[in-house]
Amino acid sequence: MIGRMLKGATLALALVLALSGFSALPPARAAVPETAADADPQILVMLRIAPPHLRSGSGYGGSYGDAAAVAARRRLAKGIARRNGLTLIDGWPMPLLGVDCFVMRVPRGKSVEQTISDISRDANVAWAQPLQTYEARGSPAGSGDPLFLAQPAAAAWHLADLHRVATGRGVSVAIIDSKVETRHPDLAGQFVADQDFVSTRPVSPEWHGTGIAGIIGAKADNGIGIAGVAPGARMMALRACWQTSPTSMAAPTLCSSLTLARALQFAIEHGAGIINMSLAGPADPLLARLIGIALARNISVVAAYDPKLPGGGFPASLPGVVAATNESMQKLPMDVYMAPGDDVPTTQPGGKWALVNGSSFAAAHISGLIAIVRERSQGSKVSLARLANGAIDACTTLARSLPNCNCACIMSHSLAGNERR
Amino acid sequence: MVTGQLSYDDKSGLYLDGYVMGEFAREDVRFLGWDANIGYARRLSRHVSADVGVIRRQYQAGYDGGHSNHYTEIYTGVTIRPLSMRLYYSPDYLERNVSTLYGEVEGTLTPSRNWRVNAHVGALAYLDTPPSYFSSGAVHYDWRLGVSRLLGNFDIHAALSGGGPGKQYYYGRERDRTAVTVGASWNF
Repeated sequence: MIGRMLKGATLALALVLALSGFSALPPARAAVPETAADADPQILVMLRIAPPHLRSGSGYGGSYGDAAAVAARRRLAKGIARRNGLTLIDGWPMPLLGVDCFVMRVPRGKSVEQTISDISRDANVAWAQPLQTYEARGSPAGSGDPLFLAQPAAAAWHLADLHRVATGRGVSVAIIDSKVETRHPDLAGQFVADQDFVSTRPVSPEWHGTGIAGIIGAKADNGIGIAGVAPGARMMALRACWQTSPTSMAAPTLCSSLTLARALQFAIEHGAGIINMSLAGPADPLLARLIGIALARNISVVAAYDPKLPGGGFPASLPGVVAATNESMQKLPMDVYMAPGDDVPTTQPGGKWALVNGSSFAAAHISGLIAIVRERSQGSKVSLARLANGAIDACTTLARSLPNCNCACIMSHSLAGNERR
Repeated sequence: MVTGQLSYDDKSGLYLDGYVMGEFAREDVRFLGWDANIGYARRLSRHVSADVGVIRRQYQAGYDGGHSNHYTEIYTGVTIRPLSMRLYYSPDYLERNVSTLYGEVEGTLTPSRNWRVNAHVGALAYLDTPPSYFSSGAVHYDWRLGVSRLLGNFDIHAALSGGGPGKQYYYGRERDRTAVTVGASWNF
């Protein structure tokens, strides 16, 4: 018996489902104008829904009185539309208000106000009103990179103004760090080299190096993510460091004297204009010699400053190396520069973006700034401008590379007559 | 089985409803009966409505030589979306001087614009001594689970229903009360 019951119920449900795939009537047309041409005014006509009550026969085979009421109101709506020369477009119940809402199109030349007034006199109509249009009040990101305005450098360095002068075109920046995701959508195409000095086996991209690369050279105006400080520069992704845990960003990123030395040698030999080393550790004679060669060849070397280490850590403590910090200190050493490094949005593995913190990322900012200055200074030594509190004055730094120009002239955007001959 | 229903809802809250049933039997078409009710419904708040009314049900003889049945009920109900509850009192349930009280709770869910899922439970209590041929007790219950799909002016529906206690006895033997019904309605 139970089996027959289940069989019957299954057949019944199958019949309902099968017939539900067949629509006896064409679907209602969209109530929203699809094009500017489809812009005849539309009105909403609210027909009263009777309060729910007993309907005879509702105890047999299911409650289908509701469908009868729906059909009745639709018939009334069609009649109203026909009598007033309107086109019935769609209907939607609003049980919270006790009305069925019907959309009707008013033909051109017919007064919407008069139509509403005429329809409102119908005894079945609760009220009628125009179908009105509303506009969202949000502004899109100005520079074409949705996260640009969240980048600290956007405001602190007036990055958009700097980019009107230079973007680092023609300058090569070597990133000696962990594995960069060179195919990240915000980074793809920005690299001239991708080398691994740690392992010969393929490894997954790592967060530290990917974040450094984003800050320095993420593509600008590509409709996604951020804009690098030097989006016109070309980067070398040189893996000399490794993430000690593949799953935990809290685990340290480490490098060795040998891997760093191999990466430094590659960068120097392949024409890097800037070498970014967002790391700190003990003094090392091998690395010191290689960095000395780089500096002698007018390659800018930028390193992260760590106040907990002697001299701020190596290589930041080396003379000639630009030491970068994100921390505002009461007494910042004269050769340490403060740059954005707190809550910085940047690229992350997996095609993502995230906020990062630390002097590593302050160093990346300075590397990017030097790159855009080098585009204009054509290889001349870069002189970083510093505010009283140790923060980089990016605008003045760039202006120094231009003849007869100060920050005001960069802001005024009128540089054509002042360009170096 | 074929049914027809005609309803009128006045904006004052007064409503009239009529319902007829017939069947296509082996040899002919047979008229089975009708319901008619009149009532008054009113919204009390956004989610709550109440109605009160009276319904008359008339059923023809189920077989040649049988006799017709009828009864009248006074009812009142309240709907708190999506549930509705109703209480019926009849002074002449299928026989003179047999009074009953029937209570039902029904719920309707609308998972999408064109689909309805409906559930119903009801209990009938005899307020005095049950008629002699009801040997199964003074309280009877019924239940139903149904689904319906709107297709423009058409509505197709299916339901599983049952009741108790015990089985029904007709055509010479006991029969299970569980049934499957499938139907289609044209609404205008």
